[in-house]
Amino acid sequence: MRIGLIFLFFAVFTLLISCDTQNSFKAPDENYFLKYFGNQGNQQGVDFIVNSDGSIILVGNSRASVSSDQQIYVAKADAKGLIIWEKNFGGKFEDEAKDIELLPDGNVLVLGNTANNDFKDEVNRERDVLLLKLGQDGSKLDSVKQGLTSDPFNVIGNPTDEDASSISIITDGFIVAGSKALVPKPLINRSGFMHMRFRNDLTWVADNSGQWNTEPVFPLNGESKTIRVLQSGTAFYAMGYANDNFRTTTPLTSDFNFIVYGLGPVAGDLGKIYIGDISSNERLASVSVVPTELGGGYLLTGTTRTLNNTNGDVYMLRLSGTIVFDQFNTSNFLLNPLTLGLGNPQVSSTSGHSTLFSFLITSEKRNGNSNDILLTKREVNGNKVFEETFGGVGDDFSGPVQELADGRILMIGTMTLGGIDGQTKIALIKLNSDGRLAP
Amino acid sequence: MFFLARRFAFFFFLLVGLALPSFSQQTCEETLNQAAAEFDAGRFYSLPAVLKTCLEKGFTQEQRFRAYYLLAQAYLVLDDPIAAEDSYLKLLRENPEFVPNEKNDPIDLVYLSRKFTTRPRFTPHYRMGANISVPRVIYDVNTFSSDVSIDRTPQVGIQLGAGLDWNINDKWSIGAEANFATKSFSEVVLRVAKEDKAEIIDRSTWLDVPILVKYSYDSGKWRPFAYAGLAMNLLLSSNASLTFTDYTGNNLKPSEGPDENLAYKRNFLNKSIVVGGGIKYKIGKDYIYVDARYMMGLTNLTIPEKNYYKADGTTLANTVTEYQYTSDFFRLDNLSLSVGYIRPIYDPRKIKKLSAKGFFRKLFLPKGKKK
Repeated sequence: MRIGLIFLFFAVFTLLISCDTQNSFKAPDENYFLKYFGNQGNQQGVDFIVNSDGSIILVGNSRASVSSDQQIYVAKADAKGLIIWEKNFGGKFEDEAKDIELLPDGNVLVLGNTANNDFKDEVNRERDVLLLKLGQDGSKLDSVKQGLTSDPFNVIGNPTDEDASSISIITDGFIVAGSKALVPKPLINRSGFMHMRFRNDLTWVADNSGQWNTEPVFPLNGESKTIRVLQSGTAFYAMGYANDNFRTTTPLTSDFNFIVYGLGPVAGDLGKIYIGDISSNERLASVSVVPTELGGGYLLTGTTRTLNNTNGDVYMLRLSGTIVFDQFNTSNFLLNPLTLGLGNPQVSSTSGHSTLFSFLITSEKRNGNSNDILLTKREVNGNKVFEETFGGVGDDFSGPVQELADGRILMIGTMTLGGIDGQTKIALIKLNSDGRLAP
Repeated sequence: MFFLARRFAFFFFLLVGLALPSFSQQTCEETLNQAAAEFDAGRFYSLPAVLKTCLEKGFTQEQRFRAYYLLAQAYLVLDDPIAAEDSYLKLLRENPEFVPNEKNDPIDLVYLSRKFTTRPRFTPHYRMGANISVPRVIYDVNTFSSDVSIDRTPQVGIQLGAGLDWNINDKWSIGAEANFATKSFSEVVLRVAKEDKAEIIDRSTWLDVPILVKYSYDSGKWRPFAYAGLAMNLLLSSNASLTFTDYTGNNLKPSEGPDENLAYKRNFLNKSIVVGGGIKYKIGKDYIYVDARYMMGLTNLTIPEKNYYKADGTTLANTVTEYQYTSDFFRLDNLSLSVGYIRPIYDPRKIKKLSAKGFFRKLFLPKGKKK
C-alpha cells in the first residue's frame, strides 16, 4: 500500500513537471506542411516530382508584375518544403510551364510553351513547345524550342500555335501531347490534336521522318486537344478531348467528350473511342497509370459541365490497360464514368493519381463566392474515403497530387493570398494519409 | 425659542457623550494601576476581581494586554497553569506579535509563551504588476519556403491576483494563488518571398493558478522571501493582430484586418514551473511586498491538429490564407514583477505536537517499524 503511495507520488510529480520538447511531437515539417513558393507578383503551381531522397522539384509560372512577361518558375525544396534553389526560365515573350518529369538519369525534364510573338490573345499568339533539361542543382543541361512545320489546316507556310499539355517518357525518347492551331486562327477555339515526338537527346522527330509524330490522325473541325500519350507495347494511346465527335459531322461549340485514340508505330489510326454525356461537356485534364498491383489500366479525370454552364463537376473513369477501339465495347471500363457531386460551375481543373489501393483526385470546390482546392480519396469502386478542402476567400486552384512512399500525400496548387484581390502563390502541401495538415 | 432649546440639548448630550469614555478610560487606567500595585504587593488572589469589570467593558486593547499580562503572571505564581494559559492566550489575542524574552519578561512567562503560537494559519495576499512573455519555440511551423529571419520580442502585459498561504511554520508556507494576466509577444518575419514582411502580435489572457512552497524570513522590518512551485495556466483567450506587407516593386501593399482568434488552436490547460522571490516590508501588522517571478512554461500551447484550420476544421484558417501565418509549437515563459499587500490573519493558539517529519515518517515507513 505504502509502496503504491510512494510510486503514485513520484508518478504524479513526474507527470506534473514533464516538459514538452521536440521528442514529444512528430517534427511537423517532416510530416506535414503547407509552403508557399514564388517571389514578387503572381505564381501558379503546375506540377512536381519527388526524388528518392524526399526532395521535391516543382514547376510553375511566375509573373513579376502585370506588365511583365510570364516565366517558367522551377524550384527544388527539401523534404521539409524549404527551398534549396529556385530559378526562372524563359525567352523574350510569354512562357508557360506545363509538366515536369524525372528522368532515369536523375535529371528532370520541364515542358512548357514559349511564345514567338508578344501577343497574348488566343487568336494571334504563336507558341512553340519548350523542353528544358535540368540537373538536380538547377543547372540547364539542354533545351529545345520546337514548333510544327506544317499546320493542321493545310495552309503551307503559316506558323502554328502549339499548346503543350504533358510529356511522357517512351522507349526511345519522349512524346509531348497538346494541341495546335493555325495563326491567326480561322476560328477561335479551333485546334487539332498534337503529339510531338522527341529523341532522348531532345532532337525532334520531324514531320517528314515517316513517323506519325505530329499530324492528327483523323479530320478535325472543332476544338481538340491531346492531354497525354502513353506507350503500351508497340502502340500508343493518345487521350484528350474534342467537340468533333461521332454524334455529328459538323463542328460544335459544345458537347465536348473525352477521346482516346490509338497510334501505331508509324503513322496510322488504330481507332478511337469517345467517352462522355451528350448533355454536357467533358474535358479530360489528367491521365494517371494505375499500378499493376491494382489491376493496371488508366485513371482519367477531367471536368464536366452542363451545356449552359450552370453546373460543373469532376468526371472520372478507369480504362483497361488494353483498349479495344470499339465505341460499344464495355470491357474498356474498369470503372464506369462517375462524378463527385461537387456542383461547382466554376470547376476549372482536376488531377488524378492512382495509389496502390485507391485514387486521389484534386479539383476545386465552391466555398461561398470562391473556389477552394479539393482533395478526395476514392476507393477503386469510386466510393468516397475522405474529402478535404484547402483555401481562403480568394480563388484557389488545384494541381497534381501524389501518394508518397510513407503513405503521406503531396500536392501542388495555386492559392490566392491576402484576400480576393491578393497575389497568387504556388502552394505545396504535404498531408497525412487522411488528407489533413496534421501528424 | 423651541429651536434654541433643541440646539442646547444637542450640544449637552454631545459633550456628555464625548466625556464619558475618557472618564471611563481614566477609571480603568486607575484600575490597572491598582492591579499592578496589588501584584507588586503580592496580593495575587485579588487581581481577577479588581480587573474583572474593566476587562468586560472599559479597557482599551493596550490596557487589556497589560491586564492579561498581570493575570498570566499572577496565575503562574499561584500555580494555576490552566488559568495562566487562558490569560496568556487572551493576551496574545490582544497583541499577536508579542514575544516575551528573558531579558525583559519573567522567565516563567517566557516558558509559558513557548506553549503558544500566534502564527497565522493562513495569510491572504493581493498583487498586481506587469509582465513580459517569451515564447520558447519547440518547432518552427510556418508557410515560408524561403530562408526567412524571425525576430520574436516580448511585449508587456499586466497581472492582478490574490493568494492564500498556509503557514507550516514561521518560515515555510505553502501557497496557492489565482492570478489573472494578460500576456503578449510579437513576431516579425523578414525576407518572406525575399522582400515581404509578416508581423504578428500575439495577445492572450490567462488564469494562472500556482501552488508554491515559500520560504520567508520572519523577523525585521524588511523580510526577504523566495519560493518555487508549479502552476496550472488556463488560457482564457488568445488573439493575434496580423499584418502581411507585400513589396510589389516600389509599392507596399499591407494586408491587415480584424484580430484573428487563435484560442481554438491553443491548449486551454497548460502548466509551468514557477520560481521567484522578493521582499516584504512590515507596516503595522501587515506587509507590502515586491515580487519577481519567472514562470517557465512546460506545455506546448499549439494543438497540432488544429494549427492550420478554421475552428470548424473544414478548411484553412484565415491566418494561413490571408497572412501566411501558422503558429509555432512553443512554450510560453513569463517574467513578472508585482507589488502586493499581505494581511496576516493571526491565530493565537496552543501548539499541538504534529510535525511534517512525523507525517512523512508515517507515510514512508512500513507498519510496525516506526521508531
